[in-house]
Amino acid sequence: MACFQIDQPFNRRHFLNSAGAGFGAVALSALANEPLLARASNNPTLPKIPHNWGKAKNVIFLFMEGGPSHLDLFDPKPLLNKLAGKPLPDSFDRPVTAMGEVGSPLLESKRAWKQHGESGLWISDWLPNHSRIADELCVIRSCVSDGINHAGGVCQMNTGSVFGGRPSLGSWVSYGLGTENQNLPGFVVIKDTSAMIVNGTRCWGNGFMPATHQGVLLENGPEPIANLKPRESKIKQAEDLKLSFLQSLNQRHLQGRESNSELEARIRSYELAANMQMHAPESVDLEKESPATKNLYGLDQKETKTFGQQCLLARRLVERGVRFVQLYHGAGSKWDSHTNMESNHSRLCQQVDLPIAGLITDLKARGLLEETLVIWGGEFGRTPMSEKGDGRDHNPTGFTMWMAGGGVKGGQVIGETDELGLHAIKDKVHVHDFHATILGLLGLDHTEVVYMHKGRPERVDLNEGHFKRQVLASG
Amino acid sequence: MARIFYIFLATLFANHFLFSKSATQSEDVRANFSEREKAWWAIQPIRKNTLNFPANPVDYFVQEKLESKELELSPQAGPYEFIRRASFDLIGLPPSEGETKAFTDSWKKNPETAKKELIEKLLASPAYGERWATHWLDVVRFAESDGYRADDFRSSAYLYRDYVIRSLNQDKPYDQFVREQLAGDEIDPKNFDHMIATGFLRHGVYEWNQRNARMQWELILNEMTNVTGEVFLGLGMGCAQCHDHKFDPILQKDYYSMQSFLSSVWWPEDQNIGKPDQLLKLQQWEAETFEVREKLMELKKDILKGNERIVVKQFPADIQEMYYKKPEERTTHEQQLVEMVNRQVRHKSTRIKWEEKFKKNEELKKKYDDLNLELASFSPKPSLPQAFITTDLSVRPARTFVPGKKIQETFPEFLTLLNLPSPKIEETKHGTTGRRLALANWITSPDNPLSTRVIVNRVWQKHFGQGLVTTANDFGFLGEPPTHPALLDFLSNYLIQNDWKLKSLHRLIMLSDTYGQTARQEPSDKASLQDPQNQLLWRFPPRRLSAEQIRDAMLFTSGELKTKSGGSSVDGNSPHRSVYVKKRRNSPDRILSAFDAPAGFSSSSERLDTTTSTQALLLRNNPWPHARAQAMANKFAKSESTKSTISKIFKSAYGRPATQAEIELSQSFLDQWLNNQEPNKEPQAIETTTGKSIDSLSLYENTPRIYKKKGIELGTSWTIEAITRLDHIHANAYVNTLLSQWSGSHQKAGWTFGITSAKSAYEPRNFIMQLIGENIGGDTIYRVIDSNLQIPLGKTHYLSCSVTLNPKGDSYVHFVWKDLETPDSKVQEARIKHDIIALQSVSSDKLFLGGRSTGQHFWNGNIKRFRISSPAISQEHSLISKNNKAPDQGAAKLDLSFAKSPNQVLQDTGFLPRTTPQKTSSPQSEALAALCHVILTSNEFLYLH
Repeated sequence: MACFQIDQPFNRRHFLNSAGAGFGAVALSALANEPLLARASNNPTLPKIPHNWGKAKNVIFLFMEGGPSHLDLFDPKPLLNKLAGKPLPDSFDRPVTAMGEVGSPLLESKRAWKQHGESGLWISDWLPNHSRIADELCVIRSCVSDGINHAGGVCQMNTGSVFGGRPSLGSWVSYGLGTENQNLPGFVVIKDTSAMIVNGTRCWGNGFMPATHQGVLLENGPEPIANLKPRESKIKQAEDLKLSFLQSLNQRHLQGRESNSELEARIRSYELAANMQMHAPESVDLEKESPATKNLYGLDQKETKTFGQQCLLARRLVERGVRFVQLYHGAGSKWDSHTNMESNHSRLCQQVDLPIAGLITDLKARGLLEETLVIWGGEFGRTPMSEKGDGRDHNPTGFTMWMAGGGVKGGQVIGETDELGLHAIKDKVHVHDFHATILGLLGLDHTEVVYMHKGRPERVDLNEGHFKRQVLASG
Repeated sequence: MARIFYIFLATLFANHFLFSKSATQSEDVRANFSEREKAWWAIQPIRKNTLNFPANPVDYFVQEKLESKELELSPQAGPYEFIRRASFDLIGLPPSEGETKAFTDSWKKNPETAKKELIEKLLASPAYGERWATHWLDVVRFAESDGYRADDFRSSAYLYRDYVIRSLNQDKPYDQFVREQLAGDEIDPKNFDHMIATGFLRHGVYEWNQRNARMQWELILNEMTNVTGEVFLGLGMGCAQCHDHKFDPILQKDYYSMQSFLSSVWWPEDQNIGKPDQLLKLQQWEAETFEVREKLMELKKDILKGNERIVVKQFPADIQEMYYKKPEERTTHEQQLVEMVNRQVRHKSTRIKWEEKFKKNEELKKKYDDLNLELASFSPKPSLPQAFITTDLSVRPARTFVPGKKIQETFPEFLTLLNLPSPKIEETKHGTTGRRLALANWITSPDNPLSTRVIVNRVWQKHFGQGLVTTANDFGFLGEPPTHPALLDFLSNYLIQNDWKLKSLHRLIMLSDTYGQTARQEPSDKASLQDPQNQLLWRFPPRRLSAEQIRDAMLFTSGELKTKSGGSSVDGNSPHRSVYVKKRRNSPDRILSAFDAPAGFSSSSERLDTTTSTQALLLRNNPWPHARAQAMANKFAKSESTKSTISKIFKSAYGRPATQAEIELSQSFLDQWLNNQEPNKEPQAIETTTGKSIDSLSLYENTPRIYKKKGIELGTSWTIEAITRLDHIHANAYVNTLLSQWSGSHQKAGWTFGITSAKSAYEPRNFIMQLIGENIGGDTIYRVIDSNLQIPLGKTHYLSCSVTLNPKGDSYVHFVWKDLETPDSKVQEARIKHDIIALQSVSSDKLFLGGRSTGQHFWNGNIKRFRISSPAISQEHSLISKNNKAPDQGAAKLDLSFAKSPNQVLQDTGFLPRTTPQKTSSPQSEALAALCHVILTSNEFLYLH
């Protein structure tokens, strides 16, 4: 009975007391976003976990919010153009769609398609610079989600569930691997505009896990992390004065209470916060980059500057040991093209095409690509059926995501959708499988990264996912 | 170390084995339970109390366990430690200096009497309900928004919060409390509290535009089932949704049998809530206006029909079919799905812009306008909040099926394992199925082994930080067994014997030596070995304050905490207790969520106590704690000596006198601070006029805001006039504010006079007044009253608005605008009705010129003259009429012309420039604020240890 109970950080005191010794070190790990059990470095159980599939250490998740059209980017469907203007043939299952566009005529794809790289990967002319990185991409055309609306879709892609309340993928990664840099948060989120992501901050929330694992939103301006900037004061070294007074009060208070490791952890938390104040601004300072690098990411062009900056920041952060960087493009469902998809997607594709190619190229040149898993996609794809004449509705039943780096075999396609790109029909990859696979690529067996909550063993994939071995370079 | 990892490995192995995908799903109902399952501790009858206890029975049971491990209780806590603990525990606030003194004095005479009196006093305080409501609200996943993309605010959900506070303060018997929440509508639908209580079944998330109505309704019912099982029975039933529970003897059939008690419900949207006389007034209004509204409806009918068709078409075909069926042909379940569609139809119809719809047809437009005028001739519609309640759709239950290969219908039954007779269910005379009442009666039957143990355990958990069963929401095999089973049963009996009153439990527990022992005891070798987790309570468990306690304690210590007895929720920046802070699922309060307040997505039985660098940054740098520190410094600055100030600060923050060493340490901090001061920079000279135009006062966002310390009392009618120019508007939704007297809180009275910006919800360049005052029900409400007059930029205009507040509910604002640069321009007017009937006193709020107290909403342009008159003046007396003298000399409260030397005018009339949001304070006061800030963020303040 008791063996189903894992003493986990939700009750840190348990652990500390039963662990008995060396709580100073544990107090430190409690702060450094490092989980106490499943961390890679000195967890004696981890080597015993049977499958160490992947070798990635970091993740960069490029989230195209609103749902990009797989039918116009990575999944060409000749039949769609043949049947354009006609209704969906009866032979296709009718899904429930967000705006009820099941009966609307099929909409042709106006794209020109070409095969790229040695692998001959199909990419449309909306992403011309992607031709350079085609051989790095592992395109999964058979993704499936349960969320037909943005709220449910974004929530599931981030947390595994269409309902709120669960930890996000970045939290699971932070929980599973710990962080390498105590001066920076382990999980960082960057948006392209001030618009909010659907569902707000809980997209990077820690759900039922300790707050140590929540994502930290990086903002533009002089204060990249909330509350990072000390208060202005006319007093010389005001901050140091206060910190040393605070710590001397805290040390006095600690005397005779040493068994309470939370007290020492909080003392350390103030020192870490001070370090973060010092180091975080440097890590987000792009002026340190050469002009050539900046241009590689498109910082010299108006259209690509914003997302280019995000991508370059992501590289700087993973270089400094941030585990999970999530970049939102089109914050506030900008990819959602119910009407006028041509102009919507051509503009957005232009904004991301060069920066993404730049990011992959730069990571590769620096030898970071092997240990950095890059993921691209949205909460769902779009329907072959038209909406309002020139748009497409949401399609969670078959859509494309891609992975690159992190031990993934590039230049391959996994799975397929039906002839119109409506339903995934072969090698379906549900969001749960996708999450399980990401953990696997980080060397973590998703069935064994467990967090006990309300007496239940919780996992990233709600116990439903499978690691998709096909993504691996080593097979 | 070894023990933990052993457990971890064992768990891995067990999980691997038990969660393997090949585990077969049992199709047939399991008839046989194993002996182990039948012996499940939580379902055994509660053992009766047979012992006679010499002293406090709690201590008897605790000591029994301690002795078995050769451990003992720690010494009793001293008075300072005890009052701080008891006070935070029962009312969520630290004791005041006076209370501490009274208690320690009384302690000297007799500690037992002192404790007794203290506990009675705390239990009688209204703050008790505010503190303990938080615990219940966590468990019932209370929040005030939908939790999806739109995250719509549930403006009357707060009534449930107030109901919980009220019930706890009344010491309502727990069985009644449960029955009201599960079936208040089936018991007494005329009873306000009974109805509000049913909000319990409605606090889950809702997605307003989900077209998969079937799936969403399923999710809603499952959520209701899960939360009911967890909250009242301590059963984590979620696993049994898809298959028989793998660990607990709960069958999939049991899950749906439980669901069938609940599944006939609906969330009505058409019921208003109010006092009887308010409801009567609404009825009268509806009767009086019936004909006009019918005519209006006739006019709108076709458009509404079209609107309906558009919405319904977006649903799957089978739902559409249901929708167009005759109502009497629908089953209850179908009716529920149709209601899901209806909700979206209604939502869309509220978005229709009728003026635009009728614009093209002049005849219709005229009819529409006439009818609206006619409607407006009646007294305004009493605005009452919509009830956030739950009730059954009809007496016919919705059928419930167990999903799977073989779909089976299921009916209300209790857990198969319990082997109880089927419940007797009778439909009620209130048009409901009676099913929820049957469930509530079973849960609150004294024989129910689960429900009393569950609530008693929750009470224990909140007193000691950890329950006798540590997994308070899961009494199953995945949870922990009780550390003190006999104590748990004793307390359960005790609760029933004391009429299910929770306050009886508080008294019993808090007067025990177990509760009274000190937390300041380091573990002995034996304790570290035998009970490192302190489960047997060899000392009082040290704890960090909860999110609400931290925020409330800071406000209390700084002297800013304001009492509020219920009502609409407030912004986190207001000085009210945290239980009243708006709880939006997708945008939680930053401070509360940083300290682990749950977001309200599911039942949350225990609070995490995290220590993060995000918290450290927030405490160090966020303006909120700094503002508390400043207020605290101001509060204590008046003492005669620094030493006495310091000792007062320690007493108030830590609840104990400072030691000599602490006084010296603090003194030396203050000295160092003052010595480190850089030579004072002169505040920059304020240049409020641009060189060219000296006939007006320039107002731009980079110039300091200008304010007058004491605002103006406006009474029940007033006129604000200005001759002014706006050069550009903000790119966002800020209001270009010319004049204001408002703190920025939607709960505080005030007004602003301004023009909307590019992203305003009221169209850009719209001349508006924001008014925050009381409605007819006495609630403080916030209204944007928009004139729909769009003011061109870059020109000098005359703008005026006259506000008339009518306590009977006929209030309006009269806007006037004239372009002063275009010859022969016409005076434009608009008269807009609103439902604010009174403005509380605002004279203590500063009057701002060119912005607001909170900044950001700046005016970018100039002003030549303004005048504020009260009572309101008629147009013939306006600034631009020939006879521009106010009729009554007393009417003009403030009249400023900037035609000559604007700065002088400002100075003469008591206006001051404001460069930073903070008051310019003396170095001493700043040093003291720094000291207070350190104290408020120190461990002794944040922990009960």
